[in-house]
Amino acid sequence: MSQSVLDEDVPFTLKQLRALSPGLASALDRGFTKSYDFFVEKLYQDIDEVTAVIERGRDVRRDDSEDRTTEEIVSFLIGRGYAATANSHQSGHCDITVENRAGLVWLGEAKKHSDYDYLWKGFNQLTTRYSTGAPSSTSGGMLIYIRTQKPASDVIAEWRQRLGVQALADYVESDCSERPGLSFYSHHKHGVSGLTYSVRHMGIMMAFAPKDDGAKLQKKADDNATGTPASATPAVVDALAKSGD
Amino acid sequence: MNALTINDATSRIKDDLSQTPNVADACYRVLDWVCTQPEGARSHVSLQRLLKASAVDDLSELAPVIRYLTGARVPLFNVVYEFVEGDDVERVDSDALYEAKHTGEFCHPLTGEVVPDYESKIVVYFAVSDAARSIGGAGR
Repeated sequence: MSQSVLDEDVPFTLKQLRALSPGLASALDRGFTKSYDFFVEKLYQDIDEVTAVIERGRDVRRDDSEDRTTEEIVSFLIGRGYAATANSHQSGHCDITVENRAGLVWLGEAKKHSDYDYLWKGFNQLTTRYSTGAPSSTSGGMLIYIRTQKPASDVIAEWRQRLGVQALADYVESDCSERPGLSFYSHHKHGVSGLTYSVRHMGIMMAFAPKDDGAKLQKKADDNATGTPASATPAVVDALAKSGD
Repeated sequence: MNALTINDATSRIKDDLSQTPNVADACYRVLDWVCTQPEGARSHVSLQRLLKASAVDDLSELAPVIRYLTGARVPLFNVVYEFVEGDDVERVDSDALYEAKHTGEFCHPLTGEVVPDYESKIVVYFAVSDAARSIGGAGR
């Protein structure tokens, strides 16, 4: 960036700003949109960003509870300027509530995947207990933390198939182009508002079961350590570093 | 709209940005700077001024600061977009720009005609929000 541009106190054009800092140009338009579609589109970009962080660091998060992972996502969204809360009261305790300055609301239900009945329970909580489906809140999300041996895309495919045979009014589903195979959208007539309610079902990959030598050392350290994270043991850290050679 | 006080702003920054102290410090600096600004200067704040006030190194480091200070938790600033062509200056709603980004067409606010290369005619600056009107006059 040329220093002279920054020295001048004249407003940037949007075109200049996109060229100088695409990240900043994108940051500008999140906060106070009145368009629900715009709000949700940007929110999903932010959720995908924190999802990628969690998935990259799934080794250090392997013992995290459902609530801890949810708190991590909420903290990230607060940093992005949303009024986001965990376990807020919405006719019960919704896992994630996100609101922007214009009062647009998105609700999320987080579930550590164990079986599909548990996901169905979460979907029903989201769509029949917490949400109203009002025009300022016509979308929600299922965040599915997947630690099973079954690959995440298989879990999401089966969940999609099982959801599709439920008797939801005016049910339609669609692919997610941002995370194909790991996320999809469902749309159905909301029982309270009667309006279409859209849910983004997001599989978050948290399984960590490496089969290399480093993993064996890590497991041995885990077995030896009682209550102390193996990653904090210098010898194991050293061994893990060398195992990558 | 709930008023944002200096105490609200500082305590929320402290609570919300504890994991990103560099962003928190930059937000505090911007907040301090806003407190010292006369009324007339608060309705037209350029990115360059925010860059200097925050004391971050470049625009990419300013992005998380602006995201937070234009967000729902500490709504210190509004983002203002204006369409400028010759002597015509018209405020543009951010949602109109969202539509334009998706459709690829931006219509002139007065004539309704499609404006080619419209992003070169939209200027961006900030204004202290109505909610934050009480902030000012004294430092943190």
